[in-house]
Amino acid sequence: MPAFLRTPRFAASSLITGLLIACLVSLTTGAVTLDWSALWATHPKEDALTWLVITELRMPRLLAALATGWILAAGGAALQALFQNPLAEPGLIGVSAGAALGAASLLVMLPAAATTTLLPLAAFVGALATVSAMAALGLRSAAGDHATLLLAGIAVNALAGAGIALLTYLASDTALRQLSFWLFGDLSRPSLTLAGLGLPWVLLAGALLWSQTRGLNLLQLGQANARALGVRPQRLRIIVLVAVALGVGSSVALVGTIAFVGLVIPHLLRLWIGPDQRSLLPLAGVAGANLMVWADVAARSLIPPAELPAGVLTALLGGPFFLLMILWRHR
Amino acid sequence: MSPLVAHDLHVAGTRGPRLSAVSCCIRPGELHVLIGPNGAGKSTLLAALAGLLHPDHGNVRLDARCLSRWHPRALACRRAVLPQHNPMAFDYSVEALLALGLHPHDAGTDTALELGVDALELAPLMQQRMHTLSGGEQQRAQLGRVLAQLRPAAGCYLLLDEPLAALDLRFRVRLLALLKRLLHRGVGIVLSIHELDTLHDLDAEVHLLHTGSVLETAHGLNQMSTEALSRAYGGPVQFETRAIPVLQEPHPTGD
Repeated sequence: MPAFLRTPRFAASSLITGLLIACLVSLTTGAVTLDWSALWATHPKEDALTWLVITELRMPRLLAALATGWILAAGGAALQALFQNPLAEPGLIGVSAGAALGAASLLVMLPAAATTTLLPLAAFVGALATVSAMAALGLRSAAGDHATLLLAGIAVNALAGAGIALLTYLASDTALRQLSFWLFGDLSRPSLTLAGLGLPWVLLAGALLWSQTRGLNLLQLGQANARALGVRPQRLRIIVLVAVALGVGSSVALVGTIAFVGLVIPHLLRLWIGPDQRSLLPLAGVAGANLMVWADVAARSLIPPAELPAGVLTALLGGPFFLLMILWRHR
Repeated sequence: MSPLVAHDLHVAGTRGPRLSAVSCCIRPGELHVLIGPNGAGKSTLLAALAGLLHPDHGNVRLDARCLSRWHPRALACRRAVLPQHNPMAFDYSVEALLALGLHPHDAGTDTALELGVDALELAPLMQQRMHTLSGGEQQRAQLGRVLAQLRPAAGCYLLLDEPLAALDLRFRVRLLALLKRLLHRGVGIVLSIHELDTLHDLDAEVHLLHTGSVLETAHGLNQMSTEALSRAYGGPVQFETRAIPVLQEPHPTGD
């Protein structure tokens, strides 16, 4: 690849162009063909349908796709740098599973209380509980001890998985159907209000992660070298973990668990522009948003009028693509 | 300018003490060399002097202040350190690696980066990725990164753990020449080395470590008693004359 194609500047401009196109396509694709000129017409009555479809249906799912894609990929990039392990991702430290367990508990135990406002709250509480446990553990374990944290993540994932399995066994048929949406990731769920409630937290998490990119770069030299260069690894670790919990917890609360974005996107970006976190982290966010919006467009238009869960689609696309990249890299 | 002072350091380990009752004082412009067998405590002492390891007892002070009470970044501006192991999970270019060394300093600060790039001939490697380099080239790049962090001025300190290990004859000579220039500018330097033959050219305080304590300190290796060396290395040691290859590196620029 010519050198200029690998520059962060080129990557940024192509990814942002792609994202703008994706947003336009996303707003214009759907079961209803919209008369766009009606939006600018002087009689509001005539464009009521167009207005309704955009604000109630397409805008919320576009915002949800942008937010979740952004934070999952940026969070994945941050975690991979934190653990110095290209296999780390938000699912790995148990945040996604904890959030899903929170939502599933409410759905099955108190189906009457499982309203559209309370469900995301339950997911958020689940994510927060897992991350508090992980952060407490992170504070207790030695600064360089990533193995403890990863193993704890595996244990938390197993526990949450068992909890969800138990709940599916107990669940009624209607609860089961709702539950499956939570576990596969479904962009049609959030309303505009819900998306509005979730966005600030995702933005805050993204900003927190971005503020730590220099520290994450220095951490790649190893704990001793990072400390010698003035980094406080323990503080860095807590900030990144809390930011990821906040962001991923909100994203699961919005659309359920989405697989592979946090793993594949940072990995591809690193192959493309190199490992410098200052450009990798924000661009991974843009690329993740791209993937989610395009996946959503595909999920809606592949078998109309039915709709695939976007989470299934990202996993279907991401898995084989990731395998190909690994094979290609070793040739 | 203030010295770097270690006072009565004790560090406990799983198999007996890693350091016990070690004191030393590194003044600006002084070179101190730590020698001793494997596991003698050279790296532990170096890490304690760098403030990367907090001793169980005793302390290390710079400007009369305990290293543990320094702000990490302020300390990073005063001392640079090369640990023995420098793993890199992701594949940075040499140029990006050197830039990481500049991190604690404000833009435009005068550091030893250019001296390092010259002496270690890093310019041709700049665009290379670390994982494609040989062990010696990686060591040169890491040394360059550490030099990028060092301000070549009195009151600053450079600590290198086995810097010569992977370097060839030529780069050993060049690194030692560079260290001499830094000493002239008032940098205090601590090295740990196994290559005792390189010590003959150096005007250094040599500390012989054995099971966590300093057996003997001498000015220059030839002042060190053979009894202490024999005890430390676990066999009779004597000084002998050998013909060894010496590279005469021309010095194109003075300081």
